[in-house]
Amino acid sequence: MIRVEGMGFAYAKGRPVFSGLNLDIPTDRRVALLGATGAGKTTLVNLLAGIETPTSGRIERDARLSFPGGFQRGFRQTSTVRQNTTFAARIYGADPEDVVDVIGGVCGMEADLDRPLRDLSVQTRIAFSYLLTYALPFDCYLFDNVVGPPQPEVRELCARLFQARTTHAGAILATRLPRVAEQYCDCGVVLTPEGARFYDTIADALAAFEGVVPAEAAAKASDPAVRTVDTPAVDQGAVFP
Amino acid sequence: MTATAPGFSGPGGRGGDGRGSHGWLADVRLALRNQFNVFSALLYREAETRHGQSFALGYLIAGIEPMVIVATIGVLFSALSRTPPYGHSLLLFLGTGVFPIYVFIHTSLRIRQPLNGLHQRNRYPIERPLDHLMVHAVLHVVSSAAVAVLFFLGLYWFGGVEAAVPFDPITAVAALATIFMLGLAMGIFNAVFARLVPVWDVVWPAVARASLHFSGPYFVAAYLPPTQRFYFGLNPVMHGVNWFRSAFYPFYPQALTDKGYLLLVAAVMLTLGLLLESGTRRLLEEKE
Repeated sequence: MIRVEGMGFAYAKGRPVFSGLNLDIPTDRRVALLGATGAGKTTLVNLLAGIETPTSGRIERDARLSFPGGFQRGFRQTSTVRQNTTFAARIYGADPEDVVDVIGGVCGMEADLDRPLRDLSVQTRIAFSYLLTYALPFDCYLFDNVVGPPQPEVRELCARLFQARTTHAGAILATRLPRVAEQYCDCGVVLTPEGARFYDTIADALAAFEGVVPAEAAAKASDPAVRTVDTPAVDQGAVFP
Repeated sequence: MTATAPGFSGPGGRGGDGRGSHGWLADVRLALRNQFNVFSALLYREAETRHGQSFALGYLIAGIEPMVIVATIGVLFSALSRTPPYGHSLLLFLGTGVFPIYVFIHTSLRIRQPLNGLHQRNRYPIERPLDHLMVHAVLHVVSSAAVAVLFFLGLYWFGGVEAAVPFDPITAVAALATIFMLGLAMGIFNAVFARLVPVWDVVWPAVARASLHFSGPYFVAAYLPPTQRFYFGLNPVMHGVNWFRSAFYPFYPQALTDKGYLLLVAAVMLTLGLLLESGTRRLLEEKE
């Protein structure tokens, strides 16, 4: 259980994102964190993960929460995939060898294990960051918008790992897409400027969310991770004379 | 919805037992275990590499600087055919001064990285600034101790200076530890202050290295004229040097060895540095 009590938060420049927020989130269920763009989903995930500190109030965590899926700021670019994995495993109290085995075996990164992170392609690095999230044992996994990287094969693997992990652990997935929430979660929190409310079923949460966000906006929004941007063909000469 | 991915059963881990166990004792145990995990993971990683170099290269190479200073002053004094200001061995006298001073100088300079803004952003949320601080302090102690032992044992074995092994090792360790605490306090203060006033990064190393000459590496502080002695006595490092030397020379003049003053300055600076760190944490996060 995560208990948010009277929490306020504001970035240095800008109006408060939250003020006096009260919210209980279960950590053993798959919770969708629903909110419109700018409602503070990412900020709330960062606050829950401990990346940001509340300006006032407090967050009580009764479970071991992950960093947001795909977190890369803990990486050392000069160290190898194996070293980075070992470090993350040690710091979160898991057995380094087990986690390295998962990264090399299940995740198929055997060939990259002893390469420094800076030598990997950007895609591989992002893929590694998501796979590492799943490879570490947490009580509750945090995700901001997506559960895996855009490449289809890794994305599918991540979706499977998500299902595997959430049979025993909880997850909190911030999203504004009803389809994603429905696919991955079974209860939800709706975030509005007035506050946040927990709904015991995903259907109730989505119904409440539809009421908050205009239906056409929700319909227009498609999954950002697989969205293909259809821009009209532009003559290069017209843009760069 | 609950299909298990084929072939995947992730590391079960010791993660689960934190949940559901209420009571402060369980909380404390969990906190301690987290602390231990973070600390040991950082220790492993930092000991492996420092600025991308191995532990030996990154940390121990720092020990060359005091040795160069000792050698330079030693050569200079021999060329001027000066006798050692105290005792029989010039190198031992210089070494007992330069080494503690460099424990202070290097600690005050090196503890910066754990509190550096960029480094603080590039971390897992479970890592706290003080974890990094402690790990760096431990590695610094280990490397300083290794270099000091190497120097004094080298002087004993190869230089034939019997006094190079302190007759009172406990005093030697206590004096070095106190100087180290002073350096740590100064280092924490510097690290935070330099983020508020960036030019401090240029000022402090110059001041620290210049202070070498005022901390008595090549003179006996107690022999100074009483009028000057007061001003030299304001420098806490000098008291540490005199204290350290009293572990090697049984009758070393102790007119300027106020251990209380050294401890007081270290305690005040440590409190000031930690208060400054916690007081400006949010300000600095937003500034950078």
